[in-house]
Amino acid sequence: MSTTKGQSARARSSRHLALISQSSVLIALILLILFGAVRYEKFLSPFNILTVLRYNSMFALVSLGMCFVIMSGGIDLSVGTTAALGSVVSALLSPYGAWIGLVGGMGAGAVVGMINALAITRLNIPPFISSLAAMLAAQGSALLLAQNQSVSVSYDTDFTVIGQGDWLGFPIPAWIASIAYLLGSLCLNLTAGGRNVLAIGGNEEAARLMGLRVDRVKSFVYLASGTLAGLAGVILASQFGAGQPVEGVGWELFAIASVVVGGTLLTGGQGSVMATLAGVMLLGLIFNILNFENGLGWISLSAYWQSVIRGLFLMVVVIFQSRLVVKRQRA
Amino acid sequence: MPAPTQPLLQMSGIDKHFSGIAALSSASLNVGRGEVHALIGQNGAGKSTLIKILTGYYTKDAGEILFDGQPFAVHSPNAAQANGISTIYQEINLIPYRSVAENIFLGREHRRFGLLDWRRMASEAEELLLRFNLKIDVHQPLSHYSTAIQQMVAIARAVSFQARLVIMDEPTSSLDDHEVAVLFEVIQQLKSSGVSVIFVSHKLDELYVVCERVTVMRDGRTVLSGSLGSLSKLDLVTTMIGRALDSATGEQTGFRPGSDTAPMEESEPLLRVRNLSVGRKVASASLDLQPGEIVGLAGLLGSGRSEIARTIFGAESASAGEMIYQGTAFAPKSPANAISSGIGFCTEDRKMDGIVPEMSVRENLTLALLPHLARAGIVNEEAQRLVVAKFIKTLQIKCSSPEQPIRELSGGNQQKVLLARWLCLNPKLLILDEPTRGIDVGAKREIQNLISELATGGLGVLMISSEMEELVEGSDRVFVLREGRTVAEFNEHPISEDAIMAAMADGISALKSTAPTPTSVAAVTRGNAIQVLNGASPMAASPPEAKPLLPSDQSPAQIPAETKTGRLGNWAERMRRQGVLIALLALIGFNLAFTPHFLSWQTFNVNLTQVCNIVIVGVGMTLVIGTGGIDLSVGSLMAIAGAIAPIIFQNKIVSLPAALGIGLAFVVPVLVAGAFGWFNGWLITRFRIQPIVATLILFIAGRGIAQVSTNGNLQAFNAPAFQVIGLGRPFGVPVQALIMFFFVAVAAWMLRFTIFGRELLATGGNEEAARLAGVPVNRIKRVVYAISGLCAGMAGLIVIAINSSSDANLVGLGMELDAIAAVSVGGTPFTGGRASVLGTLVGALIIQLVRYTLLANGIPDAAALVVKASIILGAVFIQAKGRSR
Repeated sequence: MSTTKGQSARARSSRHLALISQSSVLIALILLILFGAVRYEKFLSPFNILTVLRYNSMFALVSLGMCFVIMSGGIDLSVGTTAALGSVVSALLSPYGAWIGLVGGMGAGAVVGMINALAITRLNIPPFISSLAAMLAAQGSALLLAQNQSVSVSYDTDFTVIGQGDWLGFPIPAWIASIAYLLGSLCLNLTAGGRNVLAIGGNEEAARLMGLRVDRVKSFVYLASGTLAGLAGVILASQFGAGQPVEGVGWELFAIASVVVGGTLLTGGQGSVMATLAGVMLLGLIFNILNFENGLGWISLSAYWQSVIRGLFLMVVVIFQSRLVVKRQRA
Repeated sequence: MPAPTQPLLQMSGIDKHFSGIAALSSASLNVGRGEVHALIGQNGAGKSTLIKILTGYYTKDAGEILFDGQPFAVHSPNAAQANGISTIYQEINLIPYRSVAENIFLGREHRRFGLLDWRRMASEAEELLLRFNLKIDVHQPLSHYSTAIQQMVAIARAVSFQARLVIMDEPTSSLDDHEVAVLFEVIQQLKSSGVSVIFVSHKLDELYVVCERVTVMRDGRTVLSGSLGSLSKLDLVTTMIGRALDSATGEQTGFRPGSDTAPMEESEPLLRVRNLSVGRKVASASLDLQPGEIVGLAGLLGSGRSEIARTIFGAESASAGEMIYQGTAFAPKSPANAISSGIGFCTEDRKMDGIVPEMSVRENLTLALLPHLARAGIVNEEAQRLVVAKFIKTLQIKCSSPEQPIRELSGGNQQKVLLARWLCLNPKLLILDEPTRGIDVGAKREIQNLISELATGGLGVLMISSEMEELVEGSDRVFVLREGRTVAEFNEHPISEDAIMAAMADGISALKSTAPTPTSVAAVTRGNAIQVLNGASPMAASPPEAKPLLPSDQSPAQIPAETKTGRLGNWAERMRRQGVLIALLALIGFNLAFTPHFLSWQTFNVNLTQVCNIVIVGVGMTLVIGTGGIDLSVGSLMAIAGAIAPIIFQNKIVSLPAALGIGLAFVVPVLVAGAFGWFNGWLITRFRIQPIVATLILFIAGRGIAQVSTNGNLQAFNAPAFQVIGLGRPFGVPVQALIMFFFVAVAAWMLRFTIFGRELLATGGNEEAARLAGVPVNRIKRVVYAISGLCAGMAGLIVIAINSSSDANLVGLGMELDAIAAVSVGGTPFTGGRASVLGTLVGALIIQLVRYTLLANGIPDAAALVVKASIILGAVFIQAKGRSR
C-alpha cells in the first residue's frame, strides 16, 4: 500500500487533536483552580475543597452513568427524577438501617434502569422517548411514595453517615464517587464489556453482525445509569436529611453538559470517563467561584448568574470541539 | 463439474416465503473445498436471501443445508461464524472509531487476569495482517485508513475465525482497480489454504479472474451452475435475464452507438475547467465539454473524480484554477447556485445523498424544481402532478403511484427518479457520478440508453464511471485523472480500455489536449432535453430490448414490499395516523360515560386552556423535529419572554404611553424569544453542533438570563389590557385557544402547501440530498428554530397573563419535555422527514384528557404522571411497529 505512510501521518495528527480535545477540559479545570487559588484566600482551604467534593459527588455519579449511556449511542433523561425516587425510597427505608436504605435506593434506581433497558431493547423505542417516559414515571412514583412532601430520614440509624460522614478525613460521598469512577474507567479501558459499549456506539449494526450481544450491553448501560442515579439519590437524602421527591429536575441535562464538556461525543462511540469527572468538577467549580466572588464584595453577582455562566461555558467548549472535529475531517 | 471429493457446502431445495410470496423456490448452491464460487443474478433474484439463510439471518421454510457433510442450521450470523462461515458485507461493517486491532478481536478479546490484554491483541493483529501483505499501525482507528484497507481488515477478521467458507458480498464495489488486484491475491491465498469463497458480484469480468465455478440465480431459483471456463459473459447475462439479448453482437452497454458525427466547427465549449485544484484531492485538473457531448471521466477511486464533480456543482470550493461555463467565468458558491445556472448532478451514492427515502416519488422528483413550481411560496400541485406524470411515463419509472415512498423502489427506478429530478429543470449540463452502480442489468441498459438520448438532444453530460465498458462505449471523449491531475484525453474511437487503464495506473503523459478536437458533437438538433423527452419518438425509437426487460425488474424479493405498502401498507398507515384520533375519541367517550359534568362548557374550557401552551410550543417543536432536530430551550425561552413583558408594560425602563407599552409587551418578548431561537439555529448550522447540545446551552443559560433580568423575584402585576391574552373569553372561548388554533392551522398549512414546508421535510429526510438539490438547508434550519422560539415566547406571555405574575424560576419549567411528549404521541418520528402538527394537537389533547380523567376519578396527579409515561411509550411503540411493517 503506497499510501500507508501518508495515512499514518494523518492518523497521528488527528489522534493528537483528539488528545487535545480531551485534555483541554483538564487544562481548563487546572486553570480555573489556579485562578481560584490565587484570587481567593480560602479557596484551597480543606473546608472548601471537602464541601465542593461532598456536594458534587451526586452529580458525578449521575454523570458517570450518563457517560456510559452516551458512549453507547443513547441518552438517559430519567436520571434526575430517578435520583429523586432513590432519595425517597432510601429515606423511607432508613429506619431499617443504613445498608437497607442504601440498597433500597439503588434498587429503585435499578428498576427504572431496567424499565429503560427493556423498552429500548425489547420494544425498540428510541432512548430519548423511553427515558423521557421513565423520567415521568419515576417522578410520579417518587411523589406517590412520598405523598407529595419530603420524607425525613431516620436519625436513629447510621443512614446519614452515607452523605455526611467522613472516612480518613475524606467525605464518604467523595469516596463513593471516586471508587465508582475508578471502576468505570477500568471497565471502559480494560474489559471486553467496556469496549463493547464503545463498539455499539460506533456502529450498532456492525457490532451486531460481529456477534456482540448488543441488547445485553445496552441493558447493562441503562441498568448502570439507573443504579448510579439511585445511589446519587441515597446520598442526596442522607446529606440533606430528607428524601426529596421534587429534586433532580434538570440533573439529566446538567449531566449531559458535564459529559459533553468532558469531550465525549454525543453521537457515541468515543469518550472518556475521567474527562467526564473533570467536566463535572469544572461546572461545579463555577458555582463555587461565584460564591467566592460575591464574598469578596467587589461585585455582587446573584446566584442566578451561575446558569448563565455555565451555559456560556458549555457553548465555548462545544464550539471549540466542533472546530476540532472540522479540522480532523479536513485533515 | 462434480468435485473430486464431497463438496464443502450443499444447499438444496431451499424455499423461503415472505408473507406468502416466494422469494426462493427450490434454490440450490454447491461449493467445493478450496473453491472460489461466483454467485450472480439480477437485483432481487434471491442471492442475498439465500446467503442470509445460510448465515442464520433468516430461517428457511424448506430445504436442506449440508456443511462438510453435516446438517447445518444456525440462527444468527454469530453462530454461523463460530461454525466456520464468515461473511463480509457490502458496506464494511466494522467500527470506524475503534482501532484496527480492536476491530479484529471484538467479541473474543484476549484477556489476562480477567482484563484485556492489549499487547497480545496488537501483535496478533499485526501478524494476521502481514499474511495479507498489509503493514499498518494496528493501534490507529480504523476510520483513518482507506476503504480498501478497511476491507482487508474485515477479511482478516473473517479469516481469523478459522473460517472455512468466506462469503463476500460485492467486495469490489468500492475498490479501485489496484485494490481489486490486492483483494484477488488475498482470495488466491485463502484458496490455497483450503478456504472456500462465495463471491457475489455484478462485475462479470472479475468473475473470470478469480472464480472457478458459477451459480446463476433468477426469480428465486437456481437456473445455472457450472464451470466458468465453459461459459461466456454473454451466456451469463442471458441466463441472468432469462432471454437472449438483442445485442448479442457484443455490445455490453445500452449506449447507442453511431451518434458520432463529424467534429463540430470550433465552438465555445459548454464547460471548460483549467488547472483546477480542490483541497488535497485535486491538484491540477483540466477538461472541457461541448453541448451534446458525453465526456467520460476515468480514474481510480480517490483520483479526485467526484471532487471535481462536486466543485463544478458548487458543493465544494476550488482552491485554484478556473472554470468557464457558457463563456463566462464560473464559481458557484452553492449547489443552488449551480442549479440556477442549468447544472444537474446525480451523486455516486443514491442512499447517502440522492434520495429522500421517506418522501414520495413525486416529492423526490420535484425537489429541485420546487422553487419554479410555486407562486408566493405556495406549491402549485397541479403543475407538480403534471411534471411528475410526464417523467414517470417518459422514463418508464416503475412505481405503484407517484405517492409511493421512493425507498420502496428498486435501485434502477430510484436512479431514474433522480435523473428526472434534474431533467425536469431543463439543464444544460448534467454530471453523472457512477450512474449505473448497483443497478441490475436491464435497468442499467435503459439508463445508458437514456443518457445517449439526452446527449443527442443537446445536453452536455459529464459521466464519471468505474466501468470501463461504460466509459468506452458511452463517451465521446474520455479524460483520465490520476492523483488529482488530468493525465490523458482520448478522443479517437474506438477508445481502448487498455489505454485508459494504463493512463489511470501510470499516468502516461499522452495528454493530447493542446487543441482538443472533439470527435463527436451530437446531432444537428440542438433542442433541450425536455423537448426530446416530450416527443413520443425517442422512447419509441429506443432499442427494443429496453421494454421487454422491464418485467424482470419486478423480482420476487421486491414484490412483498410493494404489495404490502400498496394495499395493506396504506391501510396500516391510515390506522396508524388515525390511531391517535381513535384513542382521543375513546377517551372522550369514556369520560362522557363515567365522568360527571364532562359535557360542560366549563370542562371543555378548562381542558382547552391547559393544553394551549403545550400545543403552541409543540407546533414549533414539531417543525424542529421534522428537520431531524430537537429544541430543549423552549422552556427557558418562555421564561425569558415572561420576564421581559412586565418590564415593558410596567414602564420599568422607559415610560411609554399605556397603549404602546401594552402593544410592545405583546410583540417584543416574542421577537426576543424568536431571536434566541434563531441563535440556536445559528449554533447548529454555523458550528455543526448537534441540536440537543446546542439547545442545551440556552436551556441552561436562558433561565439564568430570565432570572438575572428579574433578579429572581416574582413580578406580580394587574394589567387587564395585557392579560387579555390569557384571560380574555370572546364568545366564551379562551383567547389562547384561538391563538393555539391559529398557530396549528398556519403551521399545518405551511407544511402541506408551501415550498418551505416541503423543503423542511426534505431537510429532515436526507439533509445532504436536500442540500445537493439546491435546498437552502441552513436557512431553513435557522428559520425553524426561530419559529420554535417565537412559539415559546407566545406561550410564555400566556402563562404569565394567566398567573397575573411572572416567576422566572417557574415559567415554562419542564415544558420542553411536555412538548416533546405531545409531538411523539402525535406521531411525528424523531428521525425527521415527517411531521404532523395536527397530530401534535391531538397528542397534547390525549395527554391532557388522560390526566383530567384520572383526576376527575379521584386518582392523584402523581399517578397521572406514571400513566402519561405509559401513554408515551405505548404510542411510540405502536407507531414504530406500524412503520416497520
